Amino acid sequence: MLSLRPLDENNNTVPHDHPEIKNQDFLVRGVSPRHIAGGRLSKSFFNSSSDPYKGLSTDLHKLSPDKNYNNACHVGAVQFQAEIPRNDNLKVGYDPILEGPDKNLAHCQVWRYDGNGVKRITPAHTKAMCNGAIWKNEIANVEINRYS
Amino acid sequence: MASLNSIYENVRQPDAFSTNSSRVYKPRTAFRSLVPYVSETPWSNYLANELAELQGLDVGWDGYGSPPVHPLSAHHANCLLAGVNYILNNSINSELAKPDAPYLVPVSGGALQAEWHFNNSIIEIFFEKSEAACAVFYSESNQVDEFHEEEVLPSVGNNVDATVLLEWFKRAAEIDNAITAAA
Repeated sequence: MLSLRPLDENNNTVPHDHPEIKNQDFLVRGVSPRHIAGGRLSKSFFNSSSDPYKGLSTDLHKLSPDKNYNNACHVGAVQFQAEIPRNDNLKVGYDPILEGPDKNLAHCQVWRYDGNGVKRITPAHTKAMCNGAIWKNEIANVEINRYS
Repeated sequence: MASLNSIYENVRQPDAFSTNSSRVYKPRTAFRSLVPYVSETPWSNYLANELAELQGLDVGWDGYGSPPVHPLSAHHANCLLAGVNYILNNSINSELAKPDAPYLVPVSGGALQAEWHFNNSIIEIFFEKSEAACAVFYSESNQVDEFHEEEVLPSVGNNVDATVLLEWFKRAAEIDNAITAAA
């Protein structure tokens, strides 16, 4: 595990940039079959969730190097380095899920958060992450969606 | 009680310009159940089935604890896409070949995205429960570098402003035609 992260009054992790997540560290995101449209990975795969801080869930590879992404939910996985969202002024922080069926001590999030509050990740941000992503566990006959 | 004439005014009549003039589309009026000969379109069936399925996904379908697609996200998508479908079917002077129904992809957290994949470009619309939809157009060709982003306001019934989307459908066809001609 990494060191502690900031929490709000509801025990949600506050968007932050975690100093122990290095720019060269890989963030991995498992691919659900639902993310595949027409033989390609939908760009929505890189979109904000609707949680309170609109984060994008990922796993920090160095904390779970042996995680299996061929399971009941996932058919593969892609990865990108933490510097890609950071170069677009997004924050990459640590948000471990400590208990429950989704327990995940490697869980990280990518947020768009500045002094004016939380906003959704924009199409330009997803474009950058999409273009910088590579397969971790490749899915046969599926392409990572790329822009020109 | 509305007269039959007033009901039929809301129904598109077959026209000589349509590629499928036998198809008559269900009017979105309070009286539609009284119109005996309307039929569902392939888009309508597809949208209904897919949106129902996306709302029925298991919690955690994405492996990160996401809920299924929120009913309001699905409602916004259905209103807009059904409206676009209606407009496409009723554009008798359209220069367009009607595109297939879009792919519908769930987004972690309860949103969803509609996507049209053309040969050289993509159109995406992102629907969330409480916000206007965000639509983007981008080219995937090395020969054309285009990226557009627009907000599409929620719609009610057939009151859909699909101008931007129709322009993008045309633009996608133009790009495909130009690249094919240049090859």
